[in-house]
Amino acid sequence: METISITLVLLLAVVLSGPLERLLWIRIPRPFIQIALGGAIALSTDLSITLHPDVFFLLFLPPLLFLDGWRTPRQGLRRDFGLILGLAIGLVVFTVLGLGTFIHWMIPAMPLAVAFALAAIVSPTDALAVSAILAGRAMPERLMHVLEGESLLNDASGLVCMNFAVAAVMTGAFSLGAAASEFVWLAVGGVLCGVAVTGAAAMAKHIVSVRFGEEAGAQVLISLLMPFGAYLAAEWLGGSPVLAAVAAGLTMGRLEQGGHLGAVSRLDRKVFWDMVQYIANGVVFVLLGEQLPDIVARASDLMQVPERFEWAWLLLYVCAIVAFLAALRFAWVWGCLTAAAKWARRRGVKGERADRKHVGAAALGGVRGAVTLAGILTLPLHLPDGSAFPARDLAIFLAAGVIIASLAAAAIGLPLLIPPATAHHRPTRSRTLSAIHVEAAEAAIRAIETGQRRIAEADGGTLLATEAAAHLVETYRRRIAAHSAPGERAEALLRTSEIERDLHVEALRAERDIYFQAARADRLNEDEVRGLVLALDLLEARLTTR
Amino acid sequence: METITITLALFLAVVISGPLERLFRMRIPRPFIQIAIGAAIALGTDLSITLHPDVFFLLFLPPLLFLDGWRAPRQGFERDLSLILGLAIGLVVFTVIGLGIFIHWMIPLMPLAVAFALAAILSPTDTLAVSAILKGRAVPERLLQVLEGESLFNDASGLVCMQFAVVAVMTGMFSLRAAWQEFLWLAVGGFLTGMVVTYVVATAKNKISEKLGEEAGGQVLISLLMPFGAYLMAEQLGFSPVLAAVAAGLTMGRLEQGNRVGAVTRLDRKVFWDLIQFIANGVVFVLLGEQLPQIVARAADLMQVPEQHKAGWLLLYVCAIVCILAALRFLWVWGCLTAAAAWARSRGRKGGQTDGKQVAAAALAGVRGAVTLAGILALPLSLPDGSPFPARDLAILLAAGVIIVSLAVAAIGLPLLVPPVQQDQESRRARENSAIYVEAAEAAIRAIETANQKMPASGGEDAKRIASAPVARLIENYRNRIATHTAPDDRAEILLQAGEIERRLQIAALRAERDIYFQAARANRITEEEVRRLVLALDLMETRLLAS
Repeated sequence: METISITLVLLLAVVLSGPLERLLWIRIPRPFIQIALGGAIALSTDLSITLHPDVFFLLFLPPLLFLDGWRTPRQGLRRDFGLILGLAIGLVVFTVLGLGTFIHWMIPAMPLAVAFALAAIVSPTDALAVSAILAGRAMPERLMHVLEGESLLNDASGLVCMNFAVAAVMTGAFSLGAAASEFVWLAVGGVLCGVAVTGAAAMAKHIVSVRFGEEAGAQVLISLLMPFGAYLAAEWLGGSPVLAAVAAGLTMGRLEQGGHLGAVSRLDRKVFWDMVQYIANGVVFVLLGEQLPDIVARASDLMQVPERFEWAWLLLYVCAIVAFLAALRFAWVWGCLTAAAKWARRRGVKGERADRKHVGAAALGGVRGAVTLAGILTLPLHLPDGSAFPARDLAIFLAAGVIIASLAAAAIGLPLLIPPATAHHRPTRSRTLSAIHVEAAEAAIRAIETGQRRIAEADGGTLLATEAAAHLVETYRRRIAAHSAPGERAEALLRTSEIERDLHVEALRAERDIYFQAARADRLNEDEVRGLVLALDLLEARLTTR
Repeated sequence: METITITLALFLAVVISGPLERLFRMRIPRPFIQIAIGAAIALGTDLSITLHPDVFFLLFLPPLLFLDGWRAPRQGFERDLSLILGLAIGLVVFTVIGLGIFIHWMIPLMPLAVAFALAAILSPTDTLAVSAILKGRAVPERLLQVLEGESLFNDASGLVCMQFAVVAVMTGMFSLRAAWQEFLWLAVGGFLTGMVVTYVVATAKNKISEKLGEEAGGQVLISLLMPFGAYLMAEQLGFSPVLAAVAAGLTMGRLEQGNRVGAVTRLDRKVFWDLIQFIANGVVFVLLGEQLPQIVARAADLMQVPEQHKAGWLLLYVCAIVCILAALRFLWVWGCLTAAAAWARSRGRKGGQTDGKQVAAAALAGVRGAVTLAGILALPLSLPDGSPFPARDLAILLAAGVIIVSLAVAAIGLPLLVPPVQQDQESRRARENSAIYVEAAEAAIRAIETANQKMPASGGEDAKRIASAPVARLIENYRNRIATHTAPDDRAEILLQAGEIERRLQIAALRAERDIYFQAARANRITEEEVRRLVLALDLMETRLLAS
């Protein structure tokens, strides 16, 4: 009962965050508003949410990581794979060592192993937050893809590093060799699990669909079950569950291009996953805000400075850590890009120079998010001997502070570094895209002609089929003409189709008004008006999709 | 942790039930398969699910009832309101009293109040099952609408009656007068709460959307929160939460026709709610199957007959209840229709004759479904003094048995009673609506012309010249549609056929296009984002062609 009301309140907060974001004079990124709403819930109501980190991990991480993997452009991943791995593994290890030592030096009350654990868990970055902040800004696409790819993979490496550090705290022992070999095993096992589960499920599903027909609802549910299946399988086999979910998503993206799925299923699946993303992303931040007051209260009990300085000290720690993190990122990215450019020049390829502004943006773009919060909450409460885990509350507070401060730094700093995309930065028609459009139209014409012949043979309705086919073929021929026309003429044709689209949307809206009017006047029954309006909605959605 | 795993297992069971249904030669209704999978989970694994009745009620009922109300046909209501209410309230009360007494007489170890509760929860009929079974059969549209309207409202009245009976069991007291007054109070209050909550939320939402723009995700989430909001609000105020959820759905359906949300929002909302319906309907039956082994075991303990006869007795009970239910329905429907006809005749109008076959079909169409199940599983576990709720397991078992048997009877009996619909009925319906299609096309043409006249203000003569070709093309398409719908019958037939051919060809063309785009993506010639966008456009087109 309690759980359901809490869920409803969280969902309500997510709903409210949208209008609130647009209502405020200054543009505050939505995650902040959601955190604030969460804080308000915690302070004003007596709903107290006890977050079980395991549940949190199992509920939110698999679908979010799966979706990240699924929708990440794999071209970008493949092109800069070395660079991305350098960031996702190298930078994480670099951060753990550098920041861990720094934290232990700054706060001697925190044992070195705990400091390493904290450093590990603040290293994964959250691509969604970054892309939300950078939306509509002129960030180079390639750098954006590198940051996205990095954030996809560094969740796993950060969590694994944290597990090692926690094990060191718990057992007091640490061996580098054992850690390295386990790391490899976890990574390989996790990836294999994800690929195998998704591949097997997709294959079975495909065979069943071919034999028994496909049902959109079931297809959507299967896609929802896949990340959880991969995650649980990897957990059971001892691979990295996080990597399994990512690998499952990447495999899904690859398999989707097989084009085996029906149109309705794919559409439903897209709508459903958009909802999952919207809800899960929002809820995670509201939950973070809800936990904050409690975290602050417990952390300040812990500090051994006079009461009125506590706040200042805590703030100072957080700022120091964020600044240090950004500096480490800047150094590492700069080094990687310079090395890559040198390497490219040596092999005779024209290497791009590392642009300082972009490196600065990449450093600031290291926003921390949900994974950091969930991860830090998994810190055990007690050591094996029953005593309290050292500096647990402080570590949780610092992690939460880093999330917020890094978000704030990105929200303020990135717009200063990167100018907004200029208005006429409209995607120009690439030549390959035009060629593919022409190919597709030609394939469509061939399909129409084949279909026409088949209908003529079967029903004898030759004349009707010929007429219908001619009408359709003409539309496709017009498209071919538009895409193979030379520059100036192409521009005019492009505008024609834009005008046609706008007018068509107007027409559809007028039609819909009539249908709804007819329904209100009881001239059409509900089912009919629903069917008619659905057809109009689908057409309008198609025309307004760009 | 446990909860999540169980939920995943339930989802998996729902997914598997689809292919299994189609695997068998004989068409077994899907609910049976889902129950069987549930039982297999219970017997084959050590996942044990403890259902908390309140939670179950709150989780499943508000969305299911809301959706019922939202998608209910409202045309039938105004015309046949008294008939529908006669079925939805009168028949429910009639059933509760008749069946309750019968059950108590047949099974003396079930207290009378519990028997009433069981009878009450058995009275709601399942909208989805009814329309699924009757779809494509030659049932008069009016009768179909009456049955659908009934199944919408009797969910609420049945659940309310059940709550009264449960209160009587819990407190040991029941007064008809007090109950009657309270019933009215609960019903009116609940209904108003649902309407007000939905109306206020929708109005606020529309205001905000107008000023700040609309976001599809937020809109979908609001529609999900509405039934829960109405339900919880009514509960807080002491009204009937069930009726509040139904009223919220009805209001939603009405407001939707105000045409205030964008196309993408409506599309997303439809997809999302279809999915909720798919999942909730499946999960309820899998859960029933999962609970069944324990329920059977405990109910069998309760019965005082020799071990080897227990199954036989249970079956007998279930069949007896189903027969009585069908008989009560038949009597009531027959009586209502005859009375309506007599009333119409006495006022000098021509009253339709009641057709015995159709009344029998209406009696058989009283299939029980998810709401009955959710309601019966929500029976409290124990009385206020801590002793177990009397005959709870037996009641659940009987309810489950009635659901299964009534489904089977309808699935076998209805096709025998009602012949499948003739082909031309559909196209006749399309022709009846042709006036509206023509109006819509004319409105579209006007909109194009208006938009076209407004355009030169920004683009000058050049824009006008460029626009002339697309304007002509769009208008021509609409004129063709008008021609199709105004043509004389034989010509219209041909035009409709041509439209069908064009649709088939267009689908083939879209699929060929999509193959090319996916090929290009696999060969890395276009980026994933591009292919996703292009394929989305094709999918929207194909879905539209498949839907019409």
